[in-house]
Amino acid sequence: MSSYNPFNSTIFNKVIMAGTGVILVLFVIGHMVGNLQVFLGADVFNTYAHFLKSTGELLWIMRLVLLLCVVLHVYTSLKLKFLNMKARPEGYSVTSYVKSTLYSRTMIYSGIVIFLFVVYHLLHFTAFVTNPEYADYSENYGPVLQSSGMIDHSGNIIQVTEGEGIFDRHDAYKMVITGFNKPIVAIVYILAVLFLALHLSHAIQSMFQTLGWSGPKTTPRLMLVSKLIGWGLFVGFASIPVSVLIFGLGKGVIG
Amino acid sequence: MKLTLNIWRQKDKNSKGQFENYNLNEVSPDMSFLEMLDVLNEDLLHKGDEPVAFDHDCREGICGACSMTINGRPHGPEKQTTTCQLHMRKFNDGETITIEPFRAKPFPVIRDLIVDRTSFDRIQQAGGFVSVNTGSSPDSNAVPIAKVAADKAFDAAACIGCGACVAACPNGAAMLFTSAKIGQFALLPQGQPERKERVIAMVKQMDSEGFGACTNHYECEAACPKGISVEFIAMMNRDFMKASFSR
Ligand code: HEM
Ligand code: FES
Repeated sequence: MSSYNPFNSTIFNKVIMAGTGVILVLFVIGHMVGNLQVFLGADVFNTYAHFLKSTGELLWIMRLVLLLCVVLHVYTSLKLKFLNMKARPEGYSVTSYVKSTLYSRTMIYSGIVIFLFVVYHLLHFTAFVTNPEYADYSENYGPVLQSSGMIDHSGNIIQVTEGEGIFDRHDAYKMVITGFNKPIVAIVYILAVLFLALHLSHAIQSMFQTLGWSGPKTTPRLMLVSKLIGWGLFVGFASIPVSVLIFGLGKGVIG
Repeated sequence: MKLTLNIWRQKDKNSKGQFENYNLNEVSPDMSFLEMLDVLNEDLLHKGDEPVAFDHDCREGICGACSMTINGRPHGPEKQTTTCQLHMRKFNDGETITIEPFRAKPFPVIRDLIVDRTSFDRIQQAGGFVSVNTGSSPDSNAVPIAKVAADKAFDAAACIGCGACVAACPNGAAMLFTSAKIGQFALLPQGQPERKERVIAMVKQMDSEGFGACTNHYECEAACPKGISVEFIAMMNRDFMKASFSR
């Protein structure tokens, strides 16, 4: 048995998928809760966004962990998909499924859609590659100045205006509202979270099963939880572009 | 009953197969599925054609030999029923029935509907046993076993190794079979001394045979003529990870 490395086994690969899945699911839930603060107005939302950006090393640790999870998750999913295709070189002419679902059988496709979306999403709202002007959206906050004038700010002379906050931060609220005011962008985001819902409706229960939590009573309950979380995330995430596009959320900030 | 049968014919392992159509005009609804195939084969023999090769032995649902996929379901549409125990009354008069062999790379077709399932034997031989010194049998109840554990071990031991789980799995995975063969011992005191080596050796063999990886569709559980639960797969995963980290 010496030449066999259990860490190359199908089971270990499945456990990697499930383990990275746990972290990604927790992240996605946290991300949705954070995003929902957009409904509490520009100030709350920008404070939250500013807080995230100000965590320094912690932010980079989070990003690296998530990146590692995505890389491992995608790599093992493709590896196992190819393995599974090879395990049935000649298919059936008639198929008839009993317990599997359309989304359990399309995990790799919903996954690929999510992956492509994540790349776009990062280029859009994180790196501003698609919309460089987002980088210049800024907002004043903090104690309000009593008078206008010029000040020397570490060697730079800058103009300050009466009635504005003395600090400056990125206006993430304006960015989100502007972004989702383009129907095509809003629709892409809504479709992406639809695929996320399809993926997770199967994935969450699957993850518990893979990690060893299963049983005749437990499994149906976990299936329900899986669907509730999956569709809950859809409603939560999609509510933002829908509110902006259809109900005019934040119309004020873009004039 | 009148039936049209659409059956996979394949001369041997190396030939290409294809579907052939056959009509049967006098099928009794009380026949078993295999008896219906016997009638077809009598017809074919009378006409001087090659009969359809299919696997069977006990014809009472306990040996697991009668492997075939009927209208896309291993062992046909009836829940927890082997092909030999399936009756023609479950089909409609005039129906077309498609019959294919179990499909998986580790189950190569030998002829028509017969596949080679010795890959299962090799998984079993890798560790699906308890090593004991031979001698007279021990006293009954000498080793106390909790009722729940005994019942569950028995559920796993109900596996007849028919291969329907592999045939039903969209990934061609053999995890239900392997986990049942591991689980029947993992739950009993007799299985404990070799528990770690067993799970590693059997999973290793399963992987090297070229079976797929489970993605929790649970088609295996639905197809299993003995109703074995996917709970055993979860148990095997736990056992395998524990054994891997503690070797
Ligand atoms: C936010 C992103 C994602 C989350 C939260 C997520 C979550 C999960 C979880 C929890 C599982 C179940 C793991 C298991 O039981 O083994 C899973 C499975 C899977 N994921 Fe993802 N995933 C994400 C992105 C992706 C991407 C980008 C891909 C592929 C390119 C992908 C492909 C798959 C596949 C093929 C499965 C296997 C199906 C299964 O075993 O149940 N996923 N995912
Ligand atoms: S012939 Fe033995 S189980 Fe069907």
